[in-house]
Amino acid sequence: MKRMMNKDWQHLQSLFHEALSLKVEDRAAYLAHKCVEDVALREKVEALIEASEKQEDFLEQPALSLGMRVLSSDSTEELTGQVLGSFKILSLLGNGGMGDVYLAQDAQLGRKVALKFLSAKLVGDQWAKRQFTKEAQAVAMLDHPNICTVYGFEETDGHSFIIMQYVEGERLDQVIQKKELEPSEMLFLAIQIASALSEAHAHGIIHRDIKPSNIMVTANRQLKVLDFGLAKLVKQPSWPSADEPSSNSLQLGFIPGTISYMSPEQLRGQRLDYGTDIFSFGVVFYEMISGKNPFAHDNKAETISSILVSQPPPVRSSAPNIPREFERLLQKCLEKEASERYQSVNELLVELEAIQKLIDGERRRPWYTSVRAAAALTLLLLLIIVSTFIYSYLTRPHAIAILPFANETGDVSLDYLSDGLTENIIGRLSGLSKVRVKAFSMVSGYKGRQLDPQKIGRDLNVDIVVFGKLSGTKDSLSLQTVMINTADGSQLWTDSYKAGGEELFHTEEDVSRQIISKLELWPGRDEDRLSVKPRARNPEAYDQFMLGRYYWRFRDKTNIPKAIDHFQEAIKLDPLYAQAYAGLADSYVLLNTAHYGNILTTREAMEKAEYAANTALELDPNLPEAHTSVGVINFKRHWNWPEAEKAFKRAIEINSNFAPAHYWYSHVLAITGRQREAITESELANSLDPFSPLTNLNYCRSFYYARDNERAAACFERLVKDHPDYKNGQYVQGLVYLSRGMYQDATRIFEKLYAADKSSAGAVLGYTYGVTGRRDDALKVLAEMEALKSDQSDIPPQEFAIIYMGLGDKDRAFAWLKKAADEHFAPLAFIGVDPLFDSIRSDARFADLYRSLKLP
Amino acid sequence: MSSPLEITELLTNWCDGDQTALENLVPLVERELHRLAHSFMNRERPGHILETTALVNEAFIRLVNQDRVRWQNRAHFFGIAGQIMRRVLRNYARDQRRIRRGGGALQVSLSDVAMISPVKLEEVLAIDEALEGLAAIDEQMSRMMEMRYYGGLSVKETAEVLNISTSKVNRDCKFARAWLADAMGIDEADDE
Repeated sequence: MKRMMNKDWQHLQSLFHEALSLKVEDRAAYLAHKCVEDVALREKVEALIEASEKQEDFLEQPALSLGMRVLSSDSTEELTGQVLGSFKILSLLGNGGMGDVYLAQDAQLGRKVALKFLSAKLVGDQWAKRQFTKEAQAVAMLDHPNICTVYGFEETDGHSFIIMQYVEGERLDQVIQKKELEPSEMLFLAIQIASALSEAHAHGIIHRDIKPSNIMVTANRQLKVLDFGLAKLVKQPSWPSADEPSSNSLQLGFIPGTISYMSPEQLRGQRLDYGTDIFSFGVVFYEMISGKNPFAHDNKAETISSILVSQPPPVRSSAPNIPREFERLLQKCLEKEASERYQSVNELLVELEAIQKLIDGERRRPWYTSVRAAAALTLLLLLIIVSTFIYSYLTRPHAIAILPFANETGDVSLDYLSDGLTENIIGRLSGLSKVRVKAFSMVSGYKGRQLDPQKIGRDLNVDIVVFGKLSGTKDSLSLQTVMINTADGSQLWTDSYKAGGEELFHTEEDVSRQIISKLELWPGRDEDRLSVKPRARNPEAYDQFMLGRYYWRFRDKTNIPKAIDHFQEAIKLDPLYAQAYAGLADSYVLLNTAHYGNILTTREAMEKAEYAANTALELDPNLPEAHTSVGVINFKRHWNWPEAEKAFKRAIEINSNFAPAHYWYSHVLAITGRQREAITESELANSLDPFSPLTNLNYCRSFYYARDNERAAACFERLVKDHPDYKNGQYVQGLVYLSRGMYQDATRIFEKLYAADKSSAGAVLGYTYGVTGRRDDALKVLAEMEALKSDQSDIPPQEFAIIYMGLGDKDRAFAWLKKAADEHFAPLAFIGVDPLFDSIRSDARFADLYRSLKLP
Repeated sequence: MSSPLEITELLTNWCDGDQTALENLVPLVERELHRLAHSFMNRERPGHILETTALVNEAFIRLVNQDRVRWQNRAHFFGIAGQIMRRVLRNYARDQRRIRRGGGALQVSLSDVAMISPVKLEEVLAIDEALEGLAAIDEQMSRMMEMRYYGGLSVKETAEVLNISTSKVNRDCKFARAWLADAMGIDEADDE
């Protein structure tokens, strides 16, 4: 604005008033006369006069009423600090569809709540208020982890408000803006929205206002949908509403702020059904993927027409890396006609979960690829992934890795405590039905290394890691734990526990509880189970049990007897200690095979194992370890496949995260000829315990039994790369070569194994020599094996059968197989499916043998 | 809430030229206006044209001890109300504009009803800016318009507050309106 001299300003005013007081036709002459030398001044006066004439009403109507309307809706300053009933209002949280939302302290119940005030524009409307109350009551019935709980509705001092759960976190629109989401994360969030909708729809409640700003995401990526059913009140006033003619009082002529998440039928003011939420969900999901709303335009009319007629731009054009299935799913959500969309949100959920499985499958494959990338790291840490269940819907949630607690006491003999605590805490977490826990495979030599939580987060795809370290001396130990958000490296929680002497006894439970509460795993039934989970009745027994498990993990002939000693000691100290019995059973079962030396005969070991397993089960019928042990015994000792299957299934039912149950169940499935299921089950075991060579081998071997040689070969190639020293892996890889007719490769592997240890691979090496015409070499191996057998007698009869098979001596082969069957040699059970035995399969004696295995 | 006595004192002090009294007074008045507006909206069917002058008057009566107040104080009080309204509207209009253009911290939920049409809001902002320009040349004239337009003060009340004659107010208002309209470049009457 041009600054005028005061004199000029006064002059301008007087000219204006003078001219205005004249007749219109005289003004020009007057001004021409007054402004001879100042054309600009004259023009200015003329412009002012023109403006004055044309704008007679301009600024006549005070803006006070506008201001009052604004003030009435913006009650910020009025409410903060006030006390309404038992609520002290702390601060404004945001503006919602119905009005403002405040954070408040409930003095009565001592908790923070969110109060949502019915907008001033609606409070006076009796119909709206009745509706509001009715809806609040309906929503209060909903109980779902993904729905913000409504506690109640209150009217105090002329204010009407809903009392809601206070959800700390970010709105979904903020989450979307902040960073691009991974497809798995999009799915994880989408499934939670759909789950919430499913619950609401089951109660006849339509949300009507699904949009990112109505969705909160907590730090743990738990999602909460807000404003359930409330949106009904803020129906589109500008459009006639067919189903609620009485709502005209709401049609105040104000225009909804944004309509870009509304369904076509909603825009048309038609009667709404569940399909409207499915459409809105589609818009939100689209935005999660692409970062943009597919229909939004600057201009409202264009937005409306876009929703009513336009096809959204293909989402892959802005997010080329998303799975193709997303596009199809979106399309089906965003159909203009509700009848063309998913017919229920459950149908949508099923689809989402199917896609998730697909992504998981792609992601699980990485153990070969990404384990390599993460190899250095994986060797250093033990990984457990806890995932949360959203009700029965398995989702891909936050994963948490609990790294093995470091033993910083300087006393290696306390390793059993740091390892044991880690394992037990994981065990407890995995017992929660709403949690998904990956099992743990201990790799020695990982401890005491500096680990970067953000790198772990990336490498293992986990959101949270828990570190722990044990320090002090045996009598005054302390365990420090830190929970870190891998996204930004921020510390979520840290704590220190006394773990010396008797205190140790409680540490496990205390830490577990803390982790669970920090993860916001919904308490309730699960928590009860956590506390009743069987455990030792005295600290000494607990200590002995931990020692037992520590030695058991070595799984070799020196340590298994030590494990047995400690488990027995634990039982002596606490004769009702179910877990110690289960540990004992697991130890005896391992003594069954020759690999562990001939400490006991097979029969003796199995008898003891069975006794221990049954005792464990009697003491605690809900111990998955005990069921698994019983299953293993039914498998190995009795070849009772239905009973074994029942036991494994029961263990899985109790704890679906218990990897050993899946592992063993896959064996039974393979033996009984259900290869596809066996692959699935071994894959599950493998994903739960991804870094254990044992589960990796089992997974690869499932392809071998299924005669999918290509996948088997690829799988083993990666396996031996990841675990170069794992002899069993090489052994089965050799079998795959045999099965593919790649005799040279098989020979190379078996020769190497045999050279390293005469008690292994002799049979298959002799077999390979036999079938490739190297009869002399085969006989030489046979002679060496026989010498070894008379020496130590720890070569199973089946081995001789294999070498005779290679030599074409079926009679001897069957004789040895018969012997193996009589001795109940467990691995014999696989002959029905093992390609190695194909050459004798057509023989009548094979059928007899098969029957003796009680196989179908 | 502050006592009527305290508010009355602040108001008289301000009328006597104490500027810090005004600073303390504004939030108190604003709070009362909030409350009144809120309860008014609750009482009445929304959409009504508010008898806003009556409302501000109600605020004045509630807030100020009537026994101790001078006749000028009421007009001054209305002047404050006008100032507050101007700021409230400006902030609201700016927020709404930000929201319409997408992005912006204050995200009023999408279904939140826009109470004032965007056209009207743009006008509010334009007037506000033009008033700024006017204040740069003639502050008293700008304040006068603020009282009239935002505070809803009558010509007489305005004259009281500014301690000038009513004819001067009439005259200046006429000029100011023309000047503002010209500054805003309004050609056609499109005021709703």
